[in-house]
Amino acid sequence: MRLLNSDDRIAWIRLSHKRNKREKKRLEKKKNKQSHTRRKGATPSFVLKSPEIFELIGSVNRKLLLEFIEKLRNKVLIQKRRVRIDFSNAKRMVVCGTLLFFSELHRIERELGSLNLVSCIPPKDETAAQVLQHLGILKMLKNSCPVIPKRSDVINWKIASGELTDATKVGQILEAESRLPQTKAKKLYRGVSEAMTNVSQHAYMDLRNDGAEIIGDKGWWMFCREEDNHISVAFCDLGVGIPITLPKTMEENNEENMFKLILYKLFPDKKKYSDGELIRAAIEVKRSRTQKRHRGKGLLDMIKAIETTQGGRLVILSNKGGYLYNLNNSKPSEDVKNYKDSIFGTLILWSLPISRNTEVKS
Amino acid sequence: MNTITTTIIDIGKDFSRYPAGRYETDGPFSGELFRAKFLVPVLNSNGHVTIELDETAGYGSSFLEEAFGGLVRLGYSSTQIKNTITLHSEDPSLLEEIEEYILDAEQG
Repeated sequence: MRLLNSDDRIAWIRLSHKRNKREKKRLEKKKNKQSHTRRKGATPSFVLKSPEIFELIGSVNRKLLLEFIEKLRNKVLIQKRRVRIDFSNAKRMVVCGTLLFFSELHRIERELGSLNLVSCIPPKDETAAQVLQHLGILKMLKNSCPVIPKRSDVINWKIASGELTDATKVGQILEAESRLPQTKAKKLYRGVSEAMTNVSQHAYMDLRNDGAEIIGDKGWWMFCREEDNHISVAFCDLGVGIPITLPKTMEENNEENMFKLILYKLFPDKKKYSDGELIRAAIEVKRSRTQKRHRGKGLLDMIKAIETTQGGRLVILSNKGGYLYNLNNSKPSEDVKNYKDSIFGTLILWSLPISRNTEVKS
Repeated sequence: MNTITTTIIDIGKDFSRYPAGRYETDGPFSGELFRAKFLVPVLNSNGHVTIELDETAGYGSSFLEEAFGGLVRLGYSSTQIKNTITLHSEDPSLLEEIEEYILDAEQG
């Protein structure tokens, strides 16, 4: 064995140090890589981009929003997968579309017991972020975004929800709208309380056809918003939808023949009717003066809420159908919409000007 | 001589400012509950009642129909109902609507 001189020994020590350091670095790198892979494996979040516009009446926006909601429902509620909602591009939160999303999120939370599987990236748009914060959505998704809702068109969104026909909160919200004349508030209360009664009696009579197969589904959600001298009230349930409940309600009220006759009168060349056409015909049955008033005037109450208000608007969206009623220049106009995608439920939107001088003689 | 006692019931104060729903299963302030709690006892006691309608947030047709039209389905005649119950509201269309529910229920 050769003895090392002092220079060789120093060089040897330096070399060993270098080797040790390299080895240590290599091991650390490996450890980090493994831990990163393990973390990724434990929480494989599916990133779900939200649409820019949360809206349901225009076909394009509606399609994008419904695709987004369907993916959320499938991933979280059915597959029990982690989802990270990316709201970065969200720009416009319209009442009806936002309410449907809000309702779906609450349904998922109720069914799973928490929203632990869902997280989010907040919107870049300040107003959209304020809306999500004000509605409590960012908090529900445990996002600590510091945005403070302060815009007047954001903080005036009011929320109510429930399972029974208890209109206390709804009534309090409408009465608190100090600029809304009492007569209009009462008409809106009539419409919303009837929508609520419909939910209790019919909306959840069967499984919602969305693949989740939830037994004991229930509930309604409502937004009220005052903006630019208008008040909008939106009411939503996630039940089977009016086109599905119609045969039962028509049978209960002995209105089946009248319903068939009106369908034929309104749409004579059709053999199969769309959801929108069914809703339109159901309203016409309720309007018929020959019908007894016992039971089932709820749909008319919904129109009554706006039918004497110049500029009043009612939208009923149910499954793939839509019914729009407008009162402009004292003339009512009605429109039927047929969409490709279903909202799997019913959403009713009343919109009316607040000022007193918009009342027209009925 | 029999004396008839007149009671005044203010729905908004004595029942709920927020009446809604038809049946008791629908919710806590339904037409069925109001009828059972306030109208049927007066009809059974041969008394008289004045119902004050205006101090509420409003009414849906289900509530009104079940509360008043429902009396006919329980076996009370429209004459008996009219003689026993006086309705008071600043809104004449509300009074007409209730009267219509009672008559329609009688016609079956």
